[in-house]
Amino acid sequence: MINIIICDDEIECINDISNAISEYFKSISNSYNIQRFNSSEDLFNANIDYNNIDIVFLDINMPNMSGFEAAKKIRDLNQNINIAFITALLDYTIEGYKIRVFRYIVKNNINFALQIFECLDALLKNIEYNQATISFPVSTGTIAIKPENIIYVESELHNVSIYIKEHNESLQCKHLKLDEIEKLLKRYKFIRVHKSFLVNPKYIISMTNKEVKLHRVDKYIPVARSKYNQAFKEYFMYEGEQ
Amino acid sequence: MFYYVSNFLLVLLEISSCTLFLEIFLNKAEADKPKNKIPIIISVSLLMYLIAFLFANMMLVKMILIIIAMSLVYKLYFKCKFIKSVAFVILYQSIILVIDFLVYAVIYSFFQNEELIEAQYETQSLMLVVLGKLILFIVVLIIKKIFDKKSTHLLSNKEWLQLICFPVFTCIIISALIWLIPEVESTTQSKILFITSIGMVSLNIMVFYLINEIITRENIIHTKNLNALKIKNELDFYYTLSDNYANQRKKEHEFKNQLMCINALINNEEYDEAKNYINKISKNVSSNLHTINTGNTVLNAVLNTKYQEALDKNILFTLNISDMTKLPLEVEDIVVLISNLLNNAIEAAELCEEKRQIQFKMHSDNNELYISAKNTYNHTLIIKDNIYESTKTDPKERGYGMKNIIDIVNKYNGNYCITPTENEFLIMIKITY
Repeated sequence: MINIIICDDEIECINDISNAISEYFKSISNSYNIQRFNSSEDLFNANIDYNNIDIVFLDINMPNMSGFEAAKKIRDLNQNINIAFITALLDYTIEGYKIRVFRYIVKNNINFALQIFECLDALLKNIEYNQATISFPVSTGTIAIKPENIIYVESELHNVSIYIKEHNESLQCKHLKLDEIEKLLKRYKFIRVHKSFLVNPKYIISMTNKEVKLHRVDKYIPVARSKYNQAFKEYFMYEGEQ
Repeated sequence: MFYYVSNFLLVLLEISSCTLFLEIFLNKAEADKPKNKIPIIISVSLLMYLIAFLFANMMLVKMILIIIAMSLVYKLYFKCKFIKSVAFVILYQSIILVIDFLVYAVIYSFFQNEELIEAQYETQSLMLVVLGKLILFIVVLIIKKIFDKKSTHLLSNKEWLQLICFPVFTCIIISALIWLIPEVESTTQSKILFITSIGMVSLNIMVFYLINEIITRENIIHTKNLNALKIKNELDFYYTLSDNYANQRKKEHEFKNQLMCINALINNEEYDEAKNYINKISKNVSSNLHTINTGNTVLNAVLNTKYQEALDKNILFTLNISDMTKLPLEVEDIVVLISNLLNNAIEAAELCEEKRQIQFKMHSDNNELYISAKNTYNHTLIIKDNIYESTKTDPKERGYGMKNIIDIVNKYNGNYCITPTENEFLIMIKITY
């Protein structure tokens, strides 16, 4: 369920946005919910819990409190929520970057709907990446883990050990080979640095052509010479996308 | 007489190969200034010939004198350290000795009778020596291909193989001529064969030098073209800036007039007229006022132009840029790099029928600058020599955009990585400062 808020002083604009949103969701399986507000005061009077909201579409040009002020307030309340500005003229500024505005949507543009589609595409990709879980078969049954919590996966002999954030012991997974796990985790950008090691780039502190240093892990993960070029390239791309 | 001249020619061939060989290791000068090789080749050859002539019977003294003399001359010519010169001259002499040894071993195994060699087959053995010099030249060419990093980009592997066919084939011809000599009836005929062989080997060496010069000249032209493109980019940028400025003045003028008009209407108490007028002019607010402000004036100008261009072509342009006030790139580099990145992206996205999108990100923190441009594309990518080839139709403009980008990234010792997926092309650049 995707929770969306639209806040704009022009009703026509709110309708345009929600039409575009409903058009977008026609072709995918997620359900969605839109809350509409006519001004920032109404928005803050409603005392929303932003932890449950996925994206807020804010009009920059509103009387009384501008969209920008509203965005700053929302950002103070919640660090993770996505904020998209709706504006007649693009006014991209450093301040906008500081409050991590997700998208700038330009009104009066024939691509208005397409901009909303692209924005929702990116949003859904983010949500999927952050909330996905994968089930792994362990000795006690199956357990669902979020890929973002896996630090690295090591294979020794017939066992595969999965090291998870804030867990001292690793999970032993007997029925899957490292190659199969690599396939499962490929879309989450895991990097195969060695025949026996699969690493989550989120936790990499540094990578040389001999070894990888990971966050919160004492030992150095070795890097296979034959895999170094590809691994470094993948890590490079990952770093750039952050 | 014939003997002296032919020996001098052999020494000439040897010294030509020597100069080529030493150039690989001792030449520190930039490839732009080709030195005139002929005087040095002739003078060194004369010197060697003299030494060999005067000390013909004293092998060791001759060897040492030759090494010292050559090292000195080449030290002055290449302007390098004496020790280095000595080391490489000794290396070269050892290569000659090895090849000469092989040649003489072939002679002895061929004829198995030492007296016969000196009498009847004198020309034949001379020609074997010529063959030896040719083999020496081929060996130097191979060493050049392996070790000379400066010129390996001049000839692709395929072209180099085609070039080496020429001396190899000449080898075969000379070997065939050597085989023929016993059939020859007079010494004049055998001398003619000998002169032909030397001629062919000299031709090989001259052709090689000629090709080298042609390639160096092409390289210079290529660099000039790159520079011309850079200058064009900068000029475009300055024109945009001055256009923007002119536009700005025009709008200010218009605005002043409109204010005067509104003032007049209000003074005349024609309030309704005033309201209508204000509504009317508000609707005409030009869409050319999109502004992108990253903290860096130059970057802003480039981005604003490209954003407008993308907008005009119906391309969805998403931006994500951190504070660029302290961007560690020079002004021309910013213009060329970002213009080229976005030009490529816009050109590719333009060709898509649906889904025209460009995502441009610039992020700097912790002394690391990341620049990435992602765009949708529809055409088939052509990869040549590890570089994505241009799809431009005008041959003068081909490929310079990408080369400019790579040049600038290398200038700042940065890294770049290009990853195309099925329908998105992504280029990622990282510069540490």
